[in-house]
Amino acid sequence: MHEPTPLLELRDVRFAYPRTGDEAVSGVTCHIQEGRWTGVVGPNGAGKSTLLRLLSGVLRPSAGGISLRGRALDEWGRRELSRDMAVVAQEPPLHVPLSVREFVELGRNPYVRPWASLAAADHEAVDAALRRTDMWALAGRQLAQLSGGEVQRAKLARALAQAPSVLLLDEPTAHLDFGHAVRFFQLLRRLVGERGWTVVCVTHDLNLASRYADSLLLLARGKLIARGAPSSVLEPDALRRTYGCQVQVEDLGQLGLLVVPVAEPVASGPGRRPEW
Amino acid sequence: MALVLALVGGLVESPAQPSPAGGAGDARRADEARRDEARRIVSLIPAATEILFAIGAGDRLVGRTRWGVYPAPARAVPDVGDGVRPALELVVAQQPDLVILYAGAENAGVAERLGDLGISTLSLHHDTLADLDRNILALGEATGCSTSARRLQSHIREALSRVTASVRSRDRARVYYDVWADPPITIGRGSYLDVLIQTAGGLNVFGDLVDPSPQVSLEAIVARGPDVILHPVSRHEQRSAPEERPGWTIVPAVGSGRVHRIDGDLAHRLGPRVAEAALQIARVLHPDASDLRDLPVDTPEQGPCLR
Amino acid sequence: MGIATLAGFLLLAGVCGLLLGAAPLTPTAVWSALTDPGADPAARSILISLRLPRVVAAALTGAALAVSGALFQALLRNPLAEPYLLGVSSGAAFGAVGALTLGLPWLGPAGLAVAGFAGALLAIAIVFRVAYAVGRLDTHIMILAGVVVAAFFGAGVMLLLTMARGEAMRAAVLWTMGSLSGVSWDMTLALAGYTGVSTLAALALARHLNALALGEETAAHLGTRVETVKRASYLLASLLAAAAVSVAGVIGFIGLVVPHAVRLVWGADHRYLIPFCFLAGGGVLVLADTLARTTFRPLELPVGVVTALLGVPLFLVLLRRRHA
Repeated sequence: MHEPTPLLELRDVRFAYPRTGDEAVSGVTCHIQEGRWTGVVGPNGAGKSTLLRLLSGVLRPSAGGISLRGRALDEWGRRELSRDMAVVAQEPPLHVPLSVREFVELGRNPYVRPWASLAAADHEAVDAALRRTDMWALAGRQLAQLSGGEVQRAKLARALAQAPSVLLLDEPTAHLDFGHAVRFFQLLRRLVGERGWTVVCVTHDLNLASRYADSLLLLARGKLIARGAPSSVLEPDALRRTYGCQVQVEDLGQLGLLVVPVAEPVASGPGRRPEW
Repeated sequence: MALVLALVGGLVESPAQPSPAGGAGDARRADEARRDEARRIVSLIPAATEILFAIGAGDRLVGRTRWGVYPAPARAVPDVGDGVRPALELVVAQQPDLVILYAGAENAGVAERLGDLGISTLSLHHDTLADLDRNILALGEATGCSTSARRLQSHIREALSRVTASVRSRDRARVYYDVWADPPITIGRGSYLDVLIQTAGGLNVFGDLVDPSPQVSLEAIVARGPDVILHPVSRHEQRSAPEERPGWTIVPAVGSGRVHRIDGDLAHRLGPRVAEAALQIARVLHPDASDLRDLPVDTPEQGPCLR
Repeated sequence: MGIATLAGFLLLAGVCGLLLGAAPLTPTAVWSALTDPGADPAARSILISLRLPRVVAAALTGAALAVSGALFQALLRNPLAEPYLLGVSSGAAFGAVGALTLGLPWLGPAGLAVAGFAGALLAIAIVFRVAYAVGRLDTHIMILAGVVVAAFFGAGVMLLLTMARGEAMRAAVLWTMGSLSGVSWDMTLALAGYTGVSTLAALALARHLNALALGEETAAHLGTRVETVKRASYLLASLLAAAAVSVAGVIGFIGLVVPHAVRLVWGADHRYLIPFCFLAGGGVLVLADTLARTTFRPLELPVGVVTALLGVPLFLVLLRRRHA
């Protein structure tokens, strides 16, 4: 099989938050392939969200480099970048007095010149995004009145309106129940199939990650521990060392992997860190 | 802050209160050269209104401030409001050819605006007796009544010296002049009231302060030990008397019952009646002086205009 | 819809402002004074040299304050933000009162405006410098720095006032209470150019301010150059406030409440909020100034007193209706 071209390249990327000085990401090197769904997993504080913020360009690496389509991320203008890359982040609760339609229209910002209003093509893109995410009926509703699942779909619609080729998601199903989470991922997967999107999705749910992602990155304490197909990354030994839990992993074939705990955490002593 | 506003409000409402001397040497500034005598005058200084009547130009007044109601015929002149930041619309509506203004920062734009409309202005500093002297002549010149202006001038000078002469041999009373109660504000060397107190045979206990209306402390008042407190009372102003104020009983003058009310409306108007104000003070400072009783200091309120 | 309503409101306010004043003139007299060069010269002077520039200046000052408030609220993402929060008015007061106490009254009202503007610029520069120290404009540091700078200049003003002689003090206190009585055509025209250009520039930012409401990172994801937009809106908002305060002194309430009221009625989209604030702020100040000039005529009230006394109850009613 032909190996897809790398879309995003990370070379020894490091990042330390200025206040603490601790490295949240320390020396990650990897490629993210075009048209693939890459899941990012790892325990709390592993640097997953930081890695995503580095990829989206809102944080700059303290060392190392990231390039998109062979060009350093620094060299991309904000406007240009946001036409190619959309982000569904963990935004703070939305108390903004905007309707769903107005919220999705913001996705067209990268295409509209100063002082100009939305053109016909922009309205079409917004309409299509609302329809595609089943938000059409809710277009006139205020954001504050939406349920958790609807908010996530509204964000997805906004990302869709940006017409990107890369989509970054930071725990998009964090506050959703099982059913909503599954429906969200299925919608996302259909969109990826239709548009050939490249997806980088941070998630806590290892089962869902293995079910939908083509490949996984496993992070722990800012380091890349493993990468590759879900079945090779979600391996009981590696999971025990990163999460500190004894797990059993069942391969369900097409349906992904089933990761279930089998015992109390091995690192039960207070303050004791998991070993690697 | 409220206090400051109240204070300033008080100052604005009665513009003849002791107010600061800005450049005494530059007391008069004619903003426009005036070849012709003024026929329609708006006077935004109550004292100037009095002077105009006294020199025989009162019939040419077409506007006065709310507070310029002396002498009696002035009441018939249209009221155009305040003298500080005047309502220009009303001033202009009177179609004056001369507007008399306080010179000062707050009216800096007013002269300019009126000038733009082709209306002459006479901006006057009016804070000291020297200002009064100069302004009488300036108004005489502007109205063509120079002779009556010079007469008024000498009349006032003579009346003041008569007051001085009758108290010359007497002991000088130490005076505290009560402008404001809390914080205590009095008058300093820069104020014409300081001169009036001297004329009346008194000694302002804060006469060493340069500020015309200095703020002092009750402690400082006690330390200076005034024999007499002069408490001006105005018609439109309600203030507590010194005897009623907590803590003031320790001031010697309060203990000895020498708090004297004087007519604030007269004392605070630096105009033709200034000698009457001095006499009024002299009488309360020297109650036993018999020659003060019938001293002729009155100024004619109205006279003919003599060129 | 909104634009027509508000333009109508501004127009109506302007007509009231021209019809009413200290000098009683009939509507016919006002009309002929405005249109007939041969009309009564006194009435013509009153209308064209006194009333008209004052109405126009009130409209522009109100517009500048309301747009400035809307920008500050967007930038700081804080509904309590208002044009004077970050020390612009204290800086301006320091400049103007300083000029008065140092005895520069010969500068006239235009000179006083220049001194006030210089003081405001000083405050703006200090706040910007402090908030920018971390390499990006940190809005939390900005609020802290602004409040501290405001307190500092406020104390400076108090110090100057205690040292000031009566006359300068009177002028200074009158200045800080806010009044449009000193405006001339020159100042009005300068204000018009300044406010117009700044509002147009703010409109170019409108879409990005909408994105900024979702948070700085989200705005960046949506193509906004966040730092550039923040810096631009801070400077525009401050300069608008500085212009307003230099011309008219401190007029409260409009910059805080007009943007809120507009938002309650027509929503938070800055593409509409900014022009609506321009019209509504202008109309409100024209009406307030008309009341200030006429309620106790011929005496004038400080216009800031009128804006607060009338505007606050109206706003509370609006707020209650909306949330009832």
